[in-house]
Amino acid sequence: MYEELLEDIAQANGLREINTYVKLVVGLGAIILCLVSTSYIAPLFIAVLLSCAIILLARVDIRTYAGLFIVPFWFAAMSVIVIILLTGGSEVYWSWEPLPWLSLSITRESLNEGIFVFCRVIGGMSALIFIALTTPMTDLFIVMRRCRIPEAVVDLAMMIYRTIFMIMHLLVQTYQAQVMRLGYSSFRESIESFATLCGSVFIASWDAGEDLVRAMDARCYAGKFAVLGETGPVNVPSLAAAGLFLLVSLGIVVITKNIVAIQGFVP
Amino acid sequence: MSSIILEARDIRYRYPRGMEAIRGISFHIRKGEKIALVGPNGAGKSTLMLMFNGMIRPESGIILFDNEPVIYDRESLRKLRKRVGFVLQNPDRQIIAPTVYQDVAFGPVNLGYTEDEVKVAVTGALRYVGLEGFERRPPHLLSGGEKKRVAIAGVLAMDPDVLVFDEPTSGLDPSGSEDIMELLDELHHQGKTIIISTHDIELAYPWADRAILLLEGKILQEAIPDGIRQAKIRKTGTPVDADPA
Repeated sequence: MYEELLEDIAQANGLREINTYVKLVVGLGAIILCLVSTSYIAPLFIAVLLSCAIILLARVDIRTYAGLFIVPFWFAAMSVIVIILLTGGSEVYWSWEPLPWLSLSITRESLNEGIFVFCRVIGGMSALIFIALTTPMTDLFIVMRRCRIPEAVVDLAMMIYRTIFMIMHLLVQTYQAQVMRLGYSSFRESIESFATLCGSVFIASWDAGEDLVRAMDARCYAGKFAVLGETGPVNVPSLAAAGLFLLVSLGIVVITKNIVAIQGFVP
Repeated sequence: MSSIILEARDIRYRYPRGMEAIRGISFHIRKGEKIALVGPNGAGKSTLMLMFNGMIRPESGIILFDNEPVIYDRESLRKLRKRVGFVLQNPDRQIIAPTVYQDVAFGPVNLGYTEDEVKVAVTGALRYVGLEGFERRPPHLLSGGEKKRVAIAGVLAMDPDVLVFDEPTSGLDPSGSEDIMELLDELHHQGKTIIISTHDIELAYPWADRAILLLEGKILQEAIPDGIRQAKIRKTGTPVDADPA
């Protein structure tokens, strides 16, 4: 309940002032390159480089980053084990047939496939995390509006954004008040306290919603939500770095398109 | 004496199924005055203040703004609320938008300013409350005092004639309270009419031109009690032996 929020990290990251579009192009470009690459090298390169950018340039705490990465990492690792065992191939290293209809094997092809999928996943993940950690939601609203997303949707998104933090604040306050009075000391107590927590936060957020309407009315609401502040200007070094990164990644994708992790014997 | 800007004539108000919160109040406020509404919790201060910008409509009696009775249709209320800015006690309840800039711009945008005019208004208001460089910060990462300033800036950006503050110093530390009171003084020097509600007599008396004491929905005392004068004299250094209370 009190963990550091991704959004708060993004608000304070070292690349905050870099133009939002540049950051989005880097992130989305990296994802696309991971998807079009036919070898494991380009995604791995992207993962390493973006991780370095997140830790060194955006100055995100390395433990925070590792914590974020670990969940998809295990997920990818487990999926890849299944892929390796189930994918067939010609050069068999190990195989086992525990049931007549089930055969597990590790082959050169399946290992290559596994490594490739795994690198793709971590490449894509690092690109997504790069966007999440360097581009706060408040900057994305500007992009949303520029992209001609209907005003009502953007306005609603902005109000939801603000309300989320308000409700979370209420939630933490109520929860703390309960803990202070030993609300979660036993299992039975926990269940009761949790129910009360839900109820009171619901009522409090209802109240907050009515207050919001009143606050908007008091400030002459006429169907328009605020204009947006501007994003940082595009500066040459950041643009050059982004371009260079994408170009080099693209180069690697092209050069390494036939390279696989474990080479077979050419017959 | 300057002209009357806000006047109440025998207003009454009862909350639905509740006790009567305002029981027949009449008073007037002149342009450029500094007024403190003083009273204990539940005296009806907030209710009364919410009538100044038409958020609550009195059951009987009338409120006049600039010598015109307040009309409760959408368009007239908008005009009234442009001229009477209201700063709520809890800034979290007043801040709407996801960033400081957007929040302060909310009023001007809805008043139909152009983008450049909005920018000028917002920059000016933020400079006034000392929050330059906070434009892109989200409100949930600000301190209580900073949030209060954002709320005030949001109202200042609309350039109202009358500013109403409900408990302007509640939840602030002494130095934060002093800053806010100084800000109010500055606004007053610019010719704004300022109305605050407070239960802090020590704070209100030296500051206000006039204090209106409310108790149980009625005006207990109006005008300048001796206490205020003495407090003012004491502030300027002249010794006073009488007890201000």
